[in-house]
Amino acid sequence: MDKPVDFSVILVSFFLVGLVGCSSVEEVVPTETPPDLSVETNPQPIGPAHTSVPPEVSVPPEVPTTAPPQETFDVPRPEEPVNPPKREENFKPHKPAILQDSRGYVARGYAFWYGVDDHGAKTASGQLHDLYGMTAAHATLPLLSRVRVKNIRTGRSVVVTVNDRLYDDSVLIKLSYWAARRLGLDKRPSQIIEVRGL
Amino acid sequence: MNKITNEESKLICSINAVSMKRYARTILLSGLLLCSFGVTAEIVSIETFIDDMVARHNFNKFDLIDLLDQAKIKKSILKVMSRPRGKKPSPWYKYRRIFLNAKRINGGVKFWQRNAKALKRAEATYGVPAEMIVAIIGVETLYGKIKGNFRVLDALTTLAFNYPRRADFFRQELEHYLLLTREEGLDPLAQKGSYAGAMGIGQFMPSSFRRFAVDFDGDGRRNIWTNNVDAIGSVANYFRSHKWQPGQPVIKPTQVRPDAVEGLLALEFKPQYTLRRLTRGGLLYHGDEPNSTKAMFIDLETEIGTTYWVGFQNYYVITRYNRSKRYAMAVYQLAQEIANRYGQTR
Repeated sequence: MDKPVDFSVILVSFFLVGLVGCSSVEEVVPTETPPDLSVETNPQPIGPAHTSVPPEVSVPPEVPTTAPPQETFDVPRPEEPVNPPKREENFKPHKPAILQDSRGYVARGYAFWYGVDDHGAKTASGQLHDLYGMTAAHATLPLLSRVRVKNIRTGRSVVVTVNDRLYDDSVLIKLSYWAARRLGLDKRPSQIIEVRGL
Repeated sequence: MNKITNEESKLICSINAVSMKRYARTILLSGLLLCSFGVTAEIVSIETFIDDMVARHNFNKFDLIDLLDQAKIKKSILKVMSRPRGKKPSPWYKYRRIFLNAKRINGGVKFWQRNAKALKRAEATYGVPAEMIVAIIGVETLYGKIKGNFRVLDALTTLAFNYPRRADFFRQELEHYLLLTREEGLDPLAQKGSYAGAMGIGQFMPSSFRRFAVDFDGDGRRNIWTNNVDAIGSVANYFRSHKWQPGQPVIKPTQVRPDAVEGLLALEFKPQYTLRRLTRGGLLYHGDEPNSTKAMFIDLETEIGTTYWVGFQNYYVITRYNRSKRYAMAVYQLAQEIANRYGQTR
């Protein structure tokens, strides 16, 4: 049904390119723009010999550019300026949720420990970091919860209080120097430890 | 009060059984020569001391001569006391290991369990936490196990008349000792103590005994040698008398501006500086105490570097037992460990 109509349109446009093209196309296009585009792709393989196709192509682009903007003009406005920044704000921090309860928490990984320069610094809980204290920093365990940290290889374990927040996910837990020492980590730092909520 | 080390040498060389009456001067001289001190301080002779005691405290001269006659001069004590001074003390973390170990922590928990009632009462009466009392007794005598095996009379007589550097101090302690044995009805020859004359479970010097020892179990006697209850009450009273502040901090970790360390370390060993003043001097303290809190600056050597601390009045009170920043810190940390363990086992 459409095809014969299309051919006729093409023929009309073909012969009346420079004469009545503008006025006639304007009239036709509003009613049949989609067919126009779909046919355009088809005839190209059929008639590659036509060297006059480019001028023809240059005409239809004018039509869709004038037509679609009118439709999309209302829609993109709210989309473009508001959405992208919103996404950045929402997705940047990647904050893991703080657990409500340390009980039942079990995880294995590596531990790091505080240096002498951290001695006396204020922790997330407000306590002052004590090098000889049995404390730790963790990403998600609730502050002031107690956990048992165990050296898997030796079986030695210590109980520490989580009093600081760990924002670096390169290690599972950050121990006070004395806790790390009691686990034998000061001699062999890269040993797997297990953290178990109490 | 001196810490017990209980290093009584097996080869106790004693110059004894010499009649003091006749040979006092000879003993004195030989003692001095043996120890080859550069004697500059004046040592009061035993005769003068005896005359003084008779005049001021109404002692019977002949009884006193007879008693001091039986005192032995302990060469081993003089040897211990004349250890090279000025030598750099071992770093804090090595000192710490002597007291912060499983034996002393577990011993403290057991002592606490055995004496829970008395400790609770001492805490209520004097405002001194039980763990502090336990820790002091633990550091001093390993909970009453090592109280020293010298006769107090021997130790004090030796040091009062043969140790010029602190002769005045020990002569006064000897005076207190003679008075306390008379007051308490004790045999001056029978009491045992450390090489410096510190006595009993809490290692009280005679002067401290007279001022601070209490009869905490109400049996009419201040027995700090074998009665844990009296010893506990006495230690607590000692702390209270030296202005222990219940509920206040002892010592807190701090940071410090690197260029300010020297200036802060030059300050007096006394909590006489407000936090405001210390902060102006370069202290970077993040605690919650008000700016007007009096404190002192402490440095301690750890395995991974020097740490800095703010000591408060209560820290200073511990140093009244033994004037050493390392001693006070060891007592405090031991107390924390014991309290922690005791809380878990209770």
